[in-house]
Amino acid sequence: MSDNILLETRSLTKRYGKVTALNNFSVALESNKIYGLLGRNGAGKTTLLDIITSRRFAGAGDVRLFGQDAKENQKVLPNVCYMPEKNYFIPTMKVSEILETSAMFFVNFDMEYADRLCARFGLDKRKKYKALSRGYESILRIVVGLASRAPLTIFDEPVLGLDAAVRDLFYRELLEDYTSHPRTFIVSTHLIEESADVFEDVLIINNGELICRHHVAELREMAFYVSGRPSDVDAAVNGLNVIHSEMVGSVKISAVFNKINDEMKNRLKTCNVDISPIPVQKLFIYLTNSNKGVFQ
Amino acid sequence: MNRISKCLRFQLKNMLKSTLWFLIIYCLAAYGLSLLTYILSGGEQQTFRSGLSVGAAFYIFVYVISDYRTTFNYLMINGNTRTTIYISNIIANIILSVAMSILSYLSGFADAFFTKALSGIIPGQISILQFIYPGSVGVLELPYLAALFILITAFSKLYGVLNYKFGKYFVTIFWVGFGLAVISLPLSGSDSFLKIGTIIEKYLWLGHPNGVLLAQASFIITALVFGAAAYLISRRQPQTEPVS
Repeated sequence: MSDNILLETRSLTKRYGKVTALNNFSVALESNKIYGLLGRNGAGKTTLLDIITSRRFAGAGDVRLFGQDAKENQKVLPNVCYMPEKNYFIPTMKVSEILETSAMFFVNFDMEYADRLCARFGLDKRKKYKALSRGYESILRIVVGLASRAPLTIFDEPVLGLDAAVRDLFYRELLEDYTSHPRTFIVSTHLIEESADVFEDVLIINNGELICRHHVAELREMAFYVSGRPSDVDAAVNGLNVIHSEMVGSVKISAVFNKINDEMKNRLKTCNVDISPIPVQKLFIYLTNSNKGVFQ
Repeated sequence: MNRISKCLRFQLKNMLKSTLWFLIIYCLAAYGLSLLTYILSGGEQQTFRSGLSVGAAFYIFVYVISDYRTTFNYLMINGNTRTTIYISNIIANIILSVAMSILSYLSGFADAFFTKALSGIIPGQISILQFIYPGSVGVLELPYLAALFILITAFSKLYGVLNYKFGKYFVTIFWVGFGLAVISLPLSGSDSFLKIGTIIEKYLWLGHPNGVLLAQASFIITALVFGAAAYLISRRQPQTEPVS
């Protein structure tokens, strides 16, 4: 195992009755990176995060964090700040009390930074949690997660209920704080397009399995549309990994997800076709629909 | 250990707030009502009884159940393991039990004081324990109540854990079962009453010269059984329920 590996899951399997939420799931994540965890509803994202943080237990397999078995490990868990999608804060507590409690439990918690974040996001520290709107509940989770400065910080759907301006502020804060205090983030989200620029690596889960793991730049390079006359498109994409095809009038559009070498590039140039990039969101839809993205 | 003490500090802070509210409301209601009755009756002589020990028992039962769900979930997202949370929770519950037993014991003196001040009666019997165990020393009420309250916290904890795990199914089955048992008891004849009476008598060691101390042992042993069962169930409990 590389020294830089922070988190490793080995053959994780979790079943809920007849439903398999995670199927033999193995992945290793490095330190000091921002990972995007993408998947459709019910793909197994939250189950994976719950098992990593010992909120749930896997039926089989294990999780190693910081080189140790993570299951119910009191030495490991304080280094992980997990802000789940569900509300686990105590409704009668004030925002200031929640921040103070977080400061007590997370050794790296930066209260000054938390105060600055509250001011920037317009979060009133005197308010009780139960008086917060859906958006401000998300903001509080963001503030706690960022200010915790935990070596592994996990956000599950952090931008739920937030408007575009606040979402943008979150992405900027995340990048700024990550730059000044490098650590590992895992961000699970459905808003793929707008958050893709924040991620260094993207993990896509479908039906409890990891179907794609790539650097975002690499992902963008590998995914492209080929459009033109059907015969030209078919010739151009011959031998490539086509994850989606459709006809728009007389024009055929094929979505390709493939590593491209020089020979392939030359061939595409000689065919009478147009090449255009696939937005990450579209790529995600194609991959999770076709299930053909498996590690090209 | 550091982690346990942090969890404990958090739980005690929460507990202090709730308990103070309970005590204020309870004392206002108990003494206020007695005072009102005294005034309305034109100052007739009467004995003041706050019954704090009974009120405290109900409070502990409800508090521990409701506290389990909120505290368990909240402490988990702060990086604590189930074992850490459980140990700190046991300590917090013991502290709550001892504090409530002291307050209940002291409330007996407050009752006597009010009775004497307002009615001029000098109450002879201030300890309910001396009524159940004649000849026992009054101060033994303190450890007796503490042990009883510890038993209630352990039972409530088990109830809370099962409630978390099975939700409304457990609550329905428990209370329907309890109701049926209460209803069917008179129908099953006087023998059942006698049998239950004998069991309670033996459990509480009534009539035994050291009954007060032995009953405390009964409470603690039962609490240990409930506590162990609650731990075994909760140590693999998933964090599934959001705080409502």
